[in-house]
Amino acid sequence: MSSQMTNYQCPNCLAGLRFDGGKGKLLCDHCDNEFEVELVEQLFADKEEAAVSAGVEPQWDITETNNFTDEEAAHLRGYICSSCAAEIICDDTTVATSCPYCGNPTVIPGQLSSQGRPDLVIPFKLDKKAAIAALKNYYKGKKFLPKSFSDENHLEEIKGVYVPFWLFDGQADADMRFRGTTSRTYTSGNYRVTETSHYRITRSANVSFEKVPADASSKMPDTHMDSVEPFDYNELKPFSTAYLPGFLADKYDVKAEDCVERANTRITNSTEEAIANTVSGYATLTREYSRINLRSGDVKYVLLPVWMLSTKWNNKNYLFTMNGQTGKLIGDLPVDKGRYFTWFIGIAGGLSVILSVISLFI
Amino acid sequence: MKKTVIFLLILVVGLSLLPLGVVATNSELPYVYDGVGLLSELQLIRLENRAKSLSETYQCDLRIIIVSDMREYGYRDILDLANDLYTSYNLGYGLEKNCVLLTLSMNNRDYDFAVWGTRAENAFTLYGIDNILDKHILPKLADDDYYSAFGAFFNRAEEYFDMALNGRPFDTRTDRSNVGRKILVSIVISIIVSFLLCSVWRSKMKTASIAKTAHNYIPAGGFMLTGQMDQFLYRTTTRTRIQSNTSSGSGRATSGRSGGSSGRSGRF
Repeated sequence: MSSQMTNYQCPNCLAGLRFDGGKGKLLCDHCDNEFEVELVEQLFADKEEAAVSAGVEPQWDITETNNFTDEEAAHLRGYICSSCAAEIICDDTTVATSCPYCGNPTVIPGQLSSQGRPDLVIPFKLDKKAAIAALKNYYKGKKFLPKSFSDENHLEEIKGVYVPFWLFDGQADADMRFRGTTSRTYTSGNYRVTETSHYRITRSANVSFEKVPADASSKMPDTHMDSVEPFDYNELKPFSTAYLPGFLADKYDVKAEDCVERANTRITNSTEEAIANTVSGYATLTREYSRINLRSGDVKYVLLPVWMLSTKWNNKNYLFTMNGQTGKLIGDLPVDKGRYFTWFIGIAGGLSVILSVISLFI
Repeated sequence: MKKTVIFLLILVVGLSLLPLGVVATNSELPYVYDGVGLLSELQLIRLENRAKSLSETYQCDLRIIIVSDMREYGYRDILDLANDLYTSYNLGYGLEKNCVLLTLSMNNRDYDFAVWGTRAENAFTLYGIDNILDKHILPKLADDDYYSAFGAFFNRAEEYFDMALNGRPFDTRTDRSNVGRKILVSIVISIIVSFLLCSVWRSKMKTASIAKTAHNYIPAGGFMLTGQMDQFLYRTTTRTRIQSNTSSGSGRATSGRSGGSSGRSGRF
C-alpha cells in the first residue's frame, strides 16, 4: 500500500494550498497569498530533503481491520492526513482528494509510481462557480424540461476531477474504391432519353492523427468523456502534482491496450469520411471497397480537467459533465411528456390553421 | 377544303333527318347534334332546349356534336374535326365567337373538348376543363351513359358561368371539393414539421454520446491524397415514350387549336 501523502502548505502560514485554474497559481485561502507552481514545488522538495537528512520518518499508520475482505483490501489504500492526522481510506486509483475531516486538499504521490505517473496535464481553467453557471445555462431554452426539475433539484455533488486519458498518435494508409454515376436526360422525338454514365473511382491517402483521446478510467462514463471533447492541447503542461490540490484525481485503471480499439475505430471512420469527401460530381456514389492500414504511434498518459455535477430528481440520478478547460457542458435531461405533447399539438394545430388558410387563397 | 365540302354534305343529309323543332338556331347546326343515335328523341329535345337556353343566357354557344367515325370524313385527329366544325359552321356567340364544343367520334371513342372566346375561357379555366371532363363527363361516357354525361356538361357549364360572372371563376382556389384535401394536406405537413421540430429540441436534451470519429485530431496538412483515379466504365441509356395528349386523353392541348382556343382531346 502507498502510504505517502502530500499537503502543499503555505510557506507563510502553513495552511493548505489549492490550485486555482483561473490564475494558474497555488492559493492560500487562509492568508490570501498566491504562489507560483514552480516555487512551491521547489520549497516542497527542499522540505522533504531536509526531513530525510534529519532522519525524520513520515508519521503514518495503516490500520487494517478484519471488516474488509482480502479482495476489498487489495483495492483500498489508507493514509494519514498530514494536516489533522485523521486516517483517510480511499481506493487504489485515487491520486488526489481532500481530507473529509479538515478539508485539506491532499495529493497521494505514492500512487503515481513510475508506471502510473502521467506525462502531461491540462490544468483546470474554470472553477466550480463556472460549472454551476454552465449547468443553469444548460437548462435554459429546453422546452421539454420538467419545471420541477430546474426549480426543485439541487446539486447533490460537484467535483473537479483530473480524469486519466490515453492520447494516441497514429497514421492511416487507406485505399478505397467507389462506384459512381452521372446522368443526363433529354428529349428525342417522342422519347425521353436518360443516359447514365458509370465510373469506377479509386482514392489512396495517408492521414495522420495526433492525440486521439480515450479515457482510461472505468469510473467515468465513456459517453460523457467523449462528449466533452475537444480539449485545447496547446495548454498541455508537463505533469506536476502541484496542479492537483483542490481537485480529485484518479490514476488509470484501463490500460492503453484496452483503449486501442476505441481509438482505432474513430481513426478508421474519420479516414473513410475524409477520403469520401474528396469524391464529388456524381449523382450516386456507392462504396465498393475499403482497406485501412493503421500504424501506431506514441501513446501519452495525461490528466484532463473535468467537472462532474450530479443531481437527483424523482429518485433518479442525473450526471452532467463539463470540460474544465473549455466550459463545454453535456448531460442527459429528463423529458416531460406532457410538455412534449403540448408543444407537439400546439405547433401542429397552429401551423395547420395557418397553412389551411393560406392554401385556400392559392 | 375538299373534306369540309364532303362533311357539309353529310351533315346536311343528317340534319334533314332531325325533327324540325330541334333545328332552331342561328347557325346551320343544332346545339346538340347526334349523328349516331345515342340519344332518344325526347332526350335530344331536352338537351337541345337546355343548351339553347344556356347559350342565350350566358351569350356563349354550348354545343355537342357526335359523329360515328371521323375518318369517314377524312379526319385522323379529332382536334382537326373540332376546329373545322367551329370555323366552317361559324359557331360561337357574338363578335368574339364564344363557344364551348364537345365533339365525339364514336368508332374509336375519341373526344375533344374545346373552348373559344374570352367569355368562355374566363368561365372554363384549364383546371375547370380538367374537372368537368374527369369528374363529370368522361366517367359517364365510359359507362355509355350519354344523356347523363351531356346533362352534367350543361349543369356544370351553368355553374362555371355563374361563378365567372361573380368574379370567382372555377379553379383551384374556388373549387370547394378541394377544401377538404387542402386542409388534410395542411394537417399532414403541420404534423411532420411539428414532429421534426420537437425531435430537434428533444435531441438537444440528450447530449452524451460515444464519439465515432476523430476529425478534430487530424493536424493541418495531416491529410495527403496519394492517388486518385476516376475511370469511365460504360454508359446505359433508357428511353421512355412521351405520352401524347390525344392517345392518353390525360394531357392538355392548346397548340393546333384555332383562334387561340383551349381544351383537351383524348379517348373515353
